[in-house]
Amino acid sequence: MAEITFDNVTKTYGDGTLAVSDLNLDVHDGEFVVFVGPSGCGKTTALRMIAGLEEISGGEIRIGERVVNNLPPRDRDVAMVFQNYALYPHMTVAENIGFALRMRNVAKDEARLRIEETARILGLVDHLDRKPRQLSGGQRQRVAMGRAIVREPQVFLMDEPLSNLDAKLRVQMRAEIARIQRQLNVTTVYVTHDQIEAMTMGDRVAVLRRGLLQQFEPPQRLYEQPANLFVASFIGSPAMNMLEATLERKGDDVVCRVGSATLMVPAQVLSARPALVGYVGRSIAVGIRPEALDHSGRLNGDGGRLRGVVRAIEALGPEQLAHVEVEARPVLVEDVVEGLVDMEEAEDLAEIMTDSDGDRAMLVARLDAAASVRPEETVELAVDLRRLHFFDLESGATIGA
Amino acid sequence: MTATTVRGAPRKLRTTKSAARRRRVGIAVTYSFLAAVAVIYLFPFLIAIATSFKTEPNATANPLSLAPSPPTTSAFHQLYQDQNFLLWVKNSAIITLSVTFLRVFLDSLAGYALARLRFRGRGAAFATIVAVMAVPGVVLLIPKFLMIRQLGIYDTYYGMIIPLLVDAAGVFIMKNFFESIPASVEESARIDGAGIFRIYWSIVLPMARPALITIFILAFQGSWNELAHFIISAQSTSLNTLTKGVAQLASGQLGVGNRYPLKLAASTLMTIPVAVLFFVFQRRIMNVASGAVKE
Repeated sequence: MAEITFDNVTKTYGDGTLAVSDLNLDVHDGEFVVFVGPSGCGKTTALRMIAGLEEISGGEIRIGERVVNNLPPRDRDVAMVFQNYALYPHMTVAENIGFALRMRNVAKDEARLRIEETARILGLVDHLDRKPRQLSGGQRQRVAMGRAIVREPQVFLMDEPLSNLDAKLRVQMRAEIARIQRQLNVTTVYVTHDQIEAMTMGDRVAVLRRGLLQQFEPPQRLYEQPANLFVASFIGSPAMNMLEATLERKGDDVVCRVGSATLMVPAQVLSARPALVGYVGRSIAVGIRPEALDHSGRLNGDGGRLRGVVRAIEALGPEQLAHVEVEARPVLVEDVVEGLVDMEEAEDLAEIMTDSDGDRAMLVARLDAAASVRPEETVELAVDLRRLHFFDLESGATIGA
Repeated sequence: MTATTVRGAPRKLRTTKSAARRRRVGIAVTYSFLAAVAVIYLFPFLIAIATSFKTEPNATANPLSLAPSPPTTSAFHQLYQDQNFLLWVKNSAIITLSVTFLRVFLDSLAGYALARLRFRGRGAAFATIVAVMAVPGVVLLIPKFLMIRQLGIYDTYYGMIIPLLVDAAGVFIMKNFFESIPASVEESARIDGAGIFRIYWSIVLPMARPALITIFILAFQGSWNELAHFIISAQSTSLNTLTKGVAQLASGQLGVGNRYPLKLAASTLMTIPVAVLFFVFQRRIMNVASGAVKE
């Protein structure tokens, strides 16, 4: 059985940087798990610790039942696919794929068979005698995968294998990798900074930030029930709209005052999130996904509308994204910003997103292509109140139970 | 169509023509200059070749002329008949080939260790090697002489070869080159099950071909043309290399008078292997790491 278990795993570098902090995680046998997060979050470090390319500073990593902390990479029965392919340039495709078999003294005939079988799975049969420099990026990536597959290891480790391919090829290769993994049923840990890749490929996705695990659940749950501001901003494209709001009591109901608008908090939301009541009178962050805003009248807008001016429209074919400026304060705490861009770009983003006095926010709404909205038009967007998200502004955590 | 346009055109044409002519003149001047420099650079070498085909009186009378009159191959015949010349060739060949191949191997081992392996004192070792490069070779001659005698390898092939086996510049070049090879290729090999030496031999070394060729050429040239070290490491004439032999010819040990044709014939012949090597390898240096990683 090839489960992978992280047991209080920590990684500290010589200069004191804490790359991974107390990571507890388990990957089931045959599962496809994705580690995702912004650069520097520790996902690649965690992957390399499984492989044995990084020393483990604290805790244990187990593959199957074995503690692998002190095992060299070759004894862990893992295979890795690197971001920059890392092929052996002076060897042919066949020799590249067969290198690991040679290292293990596999008989030549058996090796040949396995190499050809792998080449068949990956569509490389015609390229077996070529050298890497004669191949395209996608082909080189497939050779890198072939090297991993031919070994029939317990675990596949993939370090952003698609990030060097162009966008369209990436979409195809995503499906390829997923298909091959299902076919071979090998436990796989896949690292990426692209949340779309994470969502489309993973059985479960681990969101990491600054060395700490934020949430580890199936993609849909990450999307629908993010555990904190960071996860909510990071997952989903376009990102969740975050606005500052205050909860107030209105008779028996609780309402959410967002800028100049008032949104009713439905009873079912209150019962699902009883802790909300404790936040009455306080400032919180309210999250609204672009598709929870509507202009078509499909949603009953009695519970609340947000009024604003359309500043830009992006036509995407089947739908359009409307950038609407509303009178509300955007939430630009670090948790949110880090979910959106790399930290070096944080200042630029803050400038783009706020008006000079910080009282206006730019919402992104996902509207039907047929909806007629024009720039500089004032619109009223209905809000799907059942899909509101609420976050504690200080801790960033979701306000839930 | 209008008067202004017509007036404008001839002026432009004149400017274009003279601009083109100035450019041509400029190019001609530059090329003449470069040709002159090339000639000055090559002239001594051409004289050497020409003189090796002259008779002795002719060489003494017209040392700078490039046309031997009468042309003769007597200098080469003399060299051939003189047994020593072939002995010098043999010695040079033995030493040069040993030093060249061993130096490529040892420099690359040292370079790889310094580039990739972690061990205590690595920084100090590298600093020492670089420091050695800063010391003028002449300063080290006497210490080397004393060490060679102490080790009892004076006046043997070992004494002539061993001190030349590793050079600081070569180690430096290899270390830098290995550092430029992406670490992921070696990590991949580690995961595939290769040990350190296997990674060095099967993965990294083949990728280092340009650097290896550089070391090969430098080592060949360096040991073939080496003189000072052979003087201090041996004294028997039976161990004379080409450099030592020709040097002794030049100092008049083997004869009186200035035997220019003989000496220059020997020098000309000596140059051939290095020149051949250089031209051969010049064509073969290619970028071997292309295709390994995403650039």
